[in-house]
Amino acid sequence: MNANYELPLEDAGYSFGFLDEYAKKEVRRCILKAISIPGYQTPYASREMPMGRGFGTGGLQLTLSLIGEDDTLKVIDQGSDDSVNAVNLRQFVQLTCPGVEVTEKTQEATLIQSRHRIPEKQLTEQQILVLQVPYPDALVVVEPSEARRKVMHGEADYSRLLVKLYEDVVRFDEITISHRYPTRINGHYVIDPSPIPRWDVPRLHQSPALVLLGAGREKKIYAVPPYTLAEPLVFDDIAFRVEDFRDANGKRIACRCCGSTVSFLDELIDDAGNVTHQCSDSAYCEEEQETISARKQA
Amino acid sequence: MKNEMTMVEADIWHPAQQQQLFRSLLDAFSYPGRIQTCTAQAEPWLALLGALLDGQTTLSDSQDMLEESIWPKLEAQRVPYELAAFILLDGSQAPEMVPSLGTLEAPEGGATLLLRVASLHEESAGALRLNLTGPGIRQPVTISVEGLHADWIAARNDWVSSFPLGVELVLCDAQRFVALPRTTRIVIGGAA
Repeated sequence: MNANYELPLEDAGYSFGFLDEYAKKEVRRCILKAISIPGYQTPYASREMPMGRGFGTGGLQLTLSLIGEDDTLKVIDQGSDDSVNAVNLRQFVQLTCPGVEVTEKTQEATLIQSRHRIPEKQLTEQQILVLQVPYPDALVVVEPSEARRKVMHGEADYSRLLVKLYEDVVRFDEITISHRYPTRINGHYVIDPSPIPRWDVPRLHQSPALVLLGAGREKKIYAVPPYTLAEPLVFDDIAFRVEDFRDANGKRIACRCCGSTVSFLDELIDDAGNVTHQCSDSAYCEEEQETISARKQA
Repeated sequence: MKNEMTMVEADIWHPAQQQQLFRSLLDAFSYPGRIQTCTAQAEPWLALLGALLDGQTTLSDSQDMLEESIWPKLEAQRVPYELAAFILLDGSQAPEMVPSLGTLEAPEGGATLLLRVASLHEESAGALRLNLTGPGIRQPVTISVEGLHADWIAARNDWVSSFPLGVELVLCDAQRFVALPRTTRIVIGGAA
């Protein structure tokens, strides 16, 4: 998006939040049903947005239906506040929602729209996390017909998905799903928790904050309500495990910027072929660095 | 005087007010058992209907609680009880019919019932004590309700017994409301 672009307010007069009130009401009604049936993919009439489907239109429609003048919004893309997707979505909300504050600090936000990460900092009951979802249905890998998938979901029949995981174990001694790990919500529906890394999956479990997931292209909204069971699909004798950030000597790799050994790391390879690691959550990393420099000065 | 009345009532039709009402409703559904205060200058059941309904939705009002002049503003289609997505009723009377519970493939078709009750209390003071557990509830919560026929809870527990089918209840007194989604387990009596 051109940074100097302005909506032609005088000609069109967009309403607060860009969407018309009927669109917002429909999304809102779907959100309530999605919370009431945890993990169920509630269909909705996804609107055309002034950006391509696949750029977070599902998440954006959720955000625009939720947001009010006293909200503070944070938008992140793969943990970063400054990547193209996050910057564009944030600018769009600033254009269409006058009065809304934006922030990069997780703890200041009341509404967090995210692409593929959950912030490192523990969310609170005062916050809502909106995740952008490309593929909402975890069963799509084993059943092409949506009508049949709906019946399977209703009956909580995930045997074929478990067979898929079992085949992984037989062939590779490990479940090979790196992100979009199928997760069972409240003991019934299995969701695709959007392409968050495995690292973030346990944070859906008993989260104090409401998590809403929106798939614009697939026209689905689903939710993980607060204080709700969210269990990654596993076998009794094979435990779920998150990414392993230990080096060859078994030592936990630290972030090259802030030195954190408890965060999710991105692997970076420079021109010389050297491998370094850095926090994926840029706001968390910056805050850690500030704490360290403040400690040094004191 | 008449103009003032119109103005006071008008705020529930304003988008900004509807957004705020929706956010309290969202909190009510996210954390069942937490009683929310309606910020609008109207009774919660009317304000919530205003915030949620439009021409795409169906509403049943078999006890004629809504004034005729409100219907055009809500825009909702008037349908019989068993077909309605939203149902408005007086909670002091026992339930008579089974509302829509949705289907296995489309459980979102289950109705949302707005029941008007006399009063809601956080403490165990009212006539009917409800012990609540389930998603959104960290520690078991007890709320109490005046003016809700006890048969409602038994009937509702029956309707939600085969998840994902079920109904959502929203209990509204004169200023406040509480939501009881189908996932909430309700036991009458509860801890005192």
